[in-house]
Amino acid sequence: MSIIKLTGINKIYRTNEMETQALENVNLEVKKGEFLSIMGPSGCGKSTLLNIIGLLDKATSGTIELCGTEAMTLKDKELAEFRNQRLGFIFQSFHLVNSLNVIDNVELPLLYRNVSAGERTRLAKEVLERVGLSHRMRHMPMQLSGGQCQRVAIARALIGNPDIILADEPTGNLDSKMGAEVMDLLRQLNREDGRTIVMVTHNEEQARTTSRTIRFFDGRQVE
Amino acid sequence: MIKMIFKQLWNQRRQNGWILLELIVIAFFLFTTSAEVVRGSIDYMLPDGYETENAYLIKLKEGSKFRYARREREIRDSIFQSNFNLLLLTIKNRPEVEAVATVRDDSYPGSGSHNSNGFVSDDTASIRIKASLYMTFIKEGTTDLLKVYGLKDARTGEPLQLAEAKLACPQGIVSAAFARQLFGRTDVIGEKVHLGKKLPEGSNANNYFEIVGVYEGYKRSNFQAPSASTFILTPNSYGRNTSNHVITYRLKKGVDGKAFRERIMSEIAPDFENTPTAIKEILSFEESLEWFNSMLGIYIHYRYTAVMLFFVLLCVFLGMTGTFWVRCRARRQEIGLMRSIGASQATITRQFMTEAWMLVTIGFLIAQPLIIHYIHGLEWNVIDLTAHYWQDSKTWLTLATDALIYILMVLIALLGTWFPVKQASKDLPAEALRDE
Repeated sequence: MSIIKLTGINKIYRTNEMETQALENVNLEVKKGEFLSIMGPSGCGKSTLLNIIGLLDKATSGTIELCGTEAMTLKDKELAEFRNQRLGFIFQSFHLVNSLNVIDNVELPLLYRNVSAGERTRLAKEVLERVGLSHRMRHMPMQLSGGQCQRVAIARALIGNPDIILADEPTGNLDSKMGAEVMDLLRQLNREDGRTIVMVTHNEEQARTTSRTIRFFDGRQVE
Repeated sequence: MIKMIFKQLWNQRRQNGWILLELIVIAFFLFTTSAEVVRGSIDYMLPDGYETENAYLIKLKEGSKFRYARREREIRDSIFQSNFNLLLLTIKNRPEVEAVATVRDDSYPGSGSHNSNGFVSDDTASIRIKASLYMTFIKEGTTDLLKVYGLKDARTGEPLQLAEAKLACPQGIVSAAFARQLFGRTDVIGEKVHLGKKLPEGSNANNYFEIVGVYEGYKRSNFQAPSASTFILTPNSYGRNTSNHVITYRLKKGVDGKAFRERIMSEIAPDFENTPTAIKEILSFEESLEWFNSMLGIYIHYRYTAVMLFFVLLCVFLGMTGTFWVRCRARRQEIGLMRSIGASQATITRQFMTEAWMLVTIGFLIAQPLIIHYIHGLEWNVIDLTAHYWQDSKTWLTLATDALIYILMVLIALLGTWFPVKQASKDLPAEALRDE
């Protein structure tokens, strides 16, 4: 059963002077529990595709079906709810809120779900335990290493118990050891929880450890 | 949500410190410029205590030829009285006139003279108040101060009616503030009030008066709060000097005041030109107040204050909206992140607005000791005659001004936040997240 289904996706960036086709007629299906990696050279549209799947960007044309929902027709509030409950994001540059400590960063998605403070803290502690950062709960992001920041971002993506995790070069800013640790964590989430993961990566070795790899070149899926 | 915002503000205290400093300066600056405006506006909004429409006053002077005769002391008084009464009756008998009254020269709205006195009540001699003392000269069956001035009963708001006198002494009417200060109540008809101090029984029958009416506040200027005041109704003229006497009159509805004034000047004034009661000028109550306000520099003062306030508000508006605008734009990436993890546009707007409100509230609260220090150190420019109005209390005025500037600051901060946040939260999260 497909949890992600893209049909005829096109994305064109328009400026006054020119048009750039970032994605061209992309058709993609991802099954529930699959760990898909997207590869390709810089500027080929990998991140754009991930953003469109994650409803962070709008496709110029085509349809997106996520968890059985036609996503293109959702209104702002429904979109927000969908992102909050069904999707978890992991970014290359972590995107943690520097003015909040680790546990508060992790709790954020639940804040928008109106979960009580006690419950938020309990769940945040649970996921931080899982990513091995329970001893850093009161630290500020600036006091953590890159790998630890990415673990916090993973914990934040996990706390809402999403169906799909979207990771945009999650190890791009990490050294190989930390990168390996993060990959281990993602594989574990896929294997043990059966979570669907779509990951953009430049790393062939990491891509080989996923269940399927697709490749892009100049906005087109080539493999 | 509020707890989370508070944590965020606290964790960014160094950056927010500058904003708070700006807000403290703004709160203090706004307070110092608007406190007087608040007080002045409230004073202005209080009822005048008289009706200026159709009410006029005639100022007198000694006619040029009379000056040679004034050394004749014996005849001077009777000449003055007879001429004065004749002029009064001449005005009163004109069909256009509804009522006339004669008052001392400090006892009409906008008079440049002022007289205040100490008063004690008959049974609570220990309480002594200071109040404006006005004088009206009653010519039985001729003058009607209540009608000319349009004084209102403090309790009913209806035109004031005099109660029947019970004592063999002069009568007086007092303002509600006078009654409250001296007796603690406004139901004081029939009470005895002593001028200056209470003298032994029978020593001076004119040293006290009986209250026969309580009127609403009476303003000397329409820009000032009414002082505690009293009108003593006396049959005797105060002195024999022309400059101490003013004739006031109210015209019937629909009469052209300007034309009537011209008629008096052409038809009546020449007959009195060489008497001790020659007509110097005729002013409407509005003109009298206008003159008084100009003389005191009230218009210039308020114009200056209004210009100052306008510039302060402009600076505050530009400064605050700029700060909050920049603050929001600088957090575009954070807004993108918030949207990516499930915040709707409305949630983000609400969060930023709450944050702006909290910042303003904190800055405003920190500024309070400064404001309190300022207001207590201020030389209070009020005479104690008007100190019975709440806006003259430093505490109440501080609270009222504080409320006003707080609302202003919150509104400006919300406005400065709403536009950029609304704009930023409309951006696609993917674009916002790319923002560096």
